[in-house]
Amino acid sequence: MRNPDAEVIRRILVMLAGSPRDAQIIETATGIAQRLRAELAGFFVEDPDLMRLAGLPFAREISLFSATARGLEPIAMRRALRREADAIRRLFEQSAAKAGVSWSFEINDDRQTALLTVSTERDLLITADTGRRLRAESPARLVRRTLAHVSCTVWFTPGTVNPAHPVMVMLDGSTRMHRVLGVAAQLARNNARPLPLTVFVSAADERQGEALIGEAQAWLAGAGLDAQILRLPEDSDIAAAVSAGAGPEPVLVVGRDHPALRALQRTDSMDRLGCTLVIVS
Amino acid sequence: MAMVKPLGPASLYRRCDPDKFDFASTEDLEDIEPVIGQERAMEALDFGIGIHHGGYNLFAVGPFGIDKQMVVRRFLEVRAAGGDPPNDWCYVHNFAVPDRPRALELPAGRAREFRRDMEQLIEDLRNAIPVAFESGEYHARVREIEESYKDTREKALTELAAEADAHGLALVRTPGGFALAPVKDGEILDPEEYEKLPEAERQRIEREVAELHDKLATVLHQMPKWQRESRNSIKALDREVGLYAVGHLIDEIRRKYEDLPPVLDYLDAAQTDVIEHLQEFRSHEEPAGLFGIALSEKPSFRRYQVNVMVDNSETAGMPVIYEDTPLYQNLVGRVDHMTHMGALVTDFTLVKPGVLHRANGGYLVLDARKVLGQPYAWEGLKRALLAREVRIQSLGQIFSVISTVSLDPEPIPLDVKVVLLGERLLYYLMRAYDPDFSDLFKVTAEFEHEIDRGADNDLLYARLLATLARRESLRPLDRAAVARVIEHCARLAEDAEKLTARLQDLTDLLREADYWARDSSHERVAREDVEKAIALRIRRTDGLRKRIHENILRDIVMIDTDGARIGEINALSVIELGDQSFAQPVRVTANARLGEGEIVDIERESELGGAIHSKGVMILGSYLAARYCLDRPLSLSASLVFEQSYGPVEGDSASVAELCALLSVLAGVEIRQTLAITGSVNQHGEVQAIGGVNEKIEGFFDVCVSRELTGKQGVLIPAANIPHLMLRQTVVNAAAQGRFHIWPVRSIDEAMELLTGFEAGERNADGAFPDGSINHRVEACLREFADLRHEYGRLTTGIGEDAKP
Repeated sequence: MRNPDAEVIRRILVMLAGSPRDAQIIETATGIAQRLRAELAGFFVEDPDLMRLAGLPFAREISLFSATARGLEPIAMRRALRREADAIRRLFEQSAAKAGVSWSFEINDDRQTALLTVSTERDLLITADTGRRLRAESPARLVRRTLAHVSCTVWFTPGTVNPAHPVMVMLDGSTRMHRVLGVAAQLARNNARPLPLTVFVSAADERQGEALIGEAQAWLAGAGLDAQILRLPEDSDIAAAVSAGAGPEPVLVVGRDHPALRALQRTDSMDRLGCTLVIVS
Repeated sequence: MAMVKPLGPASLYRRCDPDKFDFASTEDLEDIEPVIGQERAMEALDFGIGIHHGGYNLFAVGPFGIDKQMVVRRFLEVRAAGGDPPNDWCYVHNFAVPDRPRALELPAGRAREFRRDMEQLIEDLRNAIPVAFESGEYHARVREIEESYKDTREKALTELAAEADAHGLALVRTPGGFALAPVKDGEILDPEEYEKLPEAERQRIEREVAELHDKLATVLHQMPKWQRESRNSIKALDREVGLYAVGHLIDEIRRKYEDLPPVLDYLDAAQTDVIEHLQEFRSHEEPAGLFGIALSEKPSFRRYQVNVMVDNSETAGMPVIYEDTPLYQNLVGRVDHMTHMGALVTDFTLVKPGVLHRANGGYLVLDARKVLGQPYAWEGLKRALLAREVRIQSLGQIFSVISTVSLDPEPIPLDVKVVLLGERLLYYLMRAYDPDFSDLFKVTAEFEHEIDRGADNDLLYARLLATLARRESLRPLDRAAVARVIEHCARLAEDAEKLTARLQDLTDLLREADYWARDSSHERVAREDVEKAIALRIRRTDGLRKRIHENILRDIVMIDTDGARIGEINALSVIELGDQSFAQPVRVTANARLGEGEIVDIERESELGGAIHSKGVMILGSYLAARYCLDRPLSLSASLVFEQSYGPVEGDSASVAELCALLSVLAGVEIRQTLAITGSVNQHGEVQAIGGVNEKIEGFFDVCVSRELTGKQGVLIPAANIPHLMLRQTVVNAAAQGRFHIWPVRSIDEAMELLTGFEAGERNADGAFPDGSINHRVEACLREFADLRHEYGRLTTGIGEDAKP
């Protein structure tokens, strides 16, 4: 059994893509890093789509503030992206300094390669990457795409994180069970007041369920945490867990291979979930 | 020669017989208002207060020391007690014109209440507004509006993105806005691949991109409008929430003041202002300020405070105010400032009331001399009375000497009776030189400086003493002491038939007599205590008199009290220094010789003589010419001088002495130096009354006593001054014993006969004076001068050789 006191998350990576939500994501990431006493790395991706766009002969940009059109050029676009990156870097620096978090910042123009490389060195990736497209990809597709490229734990957040959010864990007896409990414990414990922790257990039968509960209780006792443990039917989805839990806007911690997560990615119910999802690898 | 008889003791001092009083001491007497003998002044006050027309303010005229202020205030207080207290006034913020604070009038006592209510309101607002805007419901509704705006915007962009998607294009957010581009396999088409597309395909893409650009521009054009609508919706929500939080609080106050429309108007304006500035009040913290004054432009709850200018909640009747320091600001009020970082800041809460505000609806008593002594105070007072409103303007504003930001508070209507106190000279000067004065002070209340002395008034005076003694917590006076005080008050009035009305002197005498009574362990103030108080008061300031007296006794100042001399006479002058006056005998000498009829007043020539003194001397020339030289020119040159006098000489009370000295020279008869004389003379030789007769007699008496009274010494006084005699007891006693004499004279002839022992002489049927008489001698001398002058003229010019005078 892994040492329950060991901190699972020590290094955090936050993905920034020049979207309007970047400021909100930075605030969330520094808040989490502060709570978990983790290092924070910012990763700004210069979207290659924009550079291609700027190279097209008819490329025009319609100003958001004047609704007038002006031509785009690759060099000007590069400069604009650098300015945007610099602005985000300053914002990131200020937020991290205010939170007293150790930080670093990186800019890259190859999202996928860089992500794969960087995520292997990190324990947690925070992303809400909706990209620059007005018709953004769905959360389910984002989760799928992200998980396909990273090997670390991923934090998908729909908005700001409520400082007093309850933490919920979904266990299924997989090999990642202790790691899932470790992340949840770290989130619940590293707060001014320990956050309410709810553990949902789903198993094929009664015996397996009791065994899982016993194991979870033992792990939690070893970590010195109080938790509410609830049984869910084997085929329960994440939405059922969220609605069964206490308190609004929970953080739901789930293993990467939990059946409920796989089911969630196949349906559009993830788009309506409305809670923060922490997928533990 | 019918010699004038000296005055008997009864004429020298009018006693007040204590036995005529039927009380043992002033304890037995009831209080009396200290306005004895001031009936005319009281009638004027009564009239001035009663008449309600503009300009009927009062000027109480009277000399110093009669305590006009106390008398007027007591009179006004009695009248004011029967009236209703006037309304309260306060200043509140003017939301429409912030630098012009608004004046509100409330019934007496309600301004303070209104201030409390507004303070409570502020406290409630301070809590209620943030609470209302911190509620979950409010935030939910704001989010709803914001999301609605966001949804509208996103929907429009998403629809456009979907349309673009349908055409194989992507709507992309760029660092500066939006752009459209063709997509292949989920990614924007590379420029090189784009160039490889068929011409028709490129044209289609570019056409569709252009069309979507137009639609995008249309959407973006609408965004500010949606944003404005969203902001307006939030503002409307804020107003709704604010009104809900604030409205019922202000409604409570409204109900309380529904009988006062101006207050309701103000509350409406305040409510509107609160609602308009909800954003600034949503924080629990006030804007940074200095001593509570906001330094920023942001509004503060301080603006809803009430500055009570006039609070009559504890005023019984109409106010009666006396202002001892009538500075301009103390009269009309002021706007205070505070300095901060070199700048002066102010607001309506720093408006301070003046005495005109506090006396509004009642009476204001001011000392005219003090008002005139303060820069612009008189102008400020006049302006307020003429305009019938109090407008607070600093002198700096009026004269534009400073240009700092200040306030111009709304003027407050003024309804006040002003009573100015002042002496007669001031009154006449103001009336003569200020054209507004007559319009503003139409009622004059003249206070007498003395009252008649008689049996009735003596008793009233005794009651006055009783009242003053009680008011000053002094011992009661026994009736002998009362009688002595009355006698002294007649002396102060310089008239045996009058009593001084100067309550200040009277009160001082009572205090000092009480002190000596305590010193002597007397339970009541006795006559001897009064005597001691009078004597020691004189003694305390007697230094200069003693020095002059000593100089006379040492013959440094030459005053003879024995023997006789031609052309020299003892005159009597009075020196007034501070609260002391005493007489100084002065030797007046005369010289005469042939001349052209001029009498030289050496005092005037040396610019020591005053105008009245010069007039007296000029009368002498006229008298001599008219009496002795009807048929020939007055041909003498005479000079008169006050010997050993080195200061200014004023008054004509020595003109009899001067004439007598001159007649002595012309007649060649000696004047008795045992006598002194005082009085003025007219062109017909009649002796007229003078002032300070008591001091003059006592001055010469003291010199004679020091050298030894011989029974021949005395003073000649104008007969008209007999009623003024209230001489010191030692003089009266000496006169009773025949050791000193006071002769009343009516004419210069009577005086000359007493002074020389020669008959003055009346013209007989032939028009000639008796041989050997003084007048005969004078006439002969002047005739001789005239002849000599004629002869001298004939010898030098040859004119009139045959003419004989």
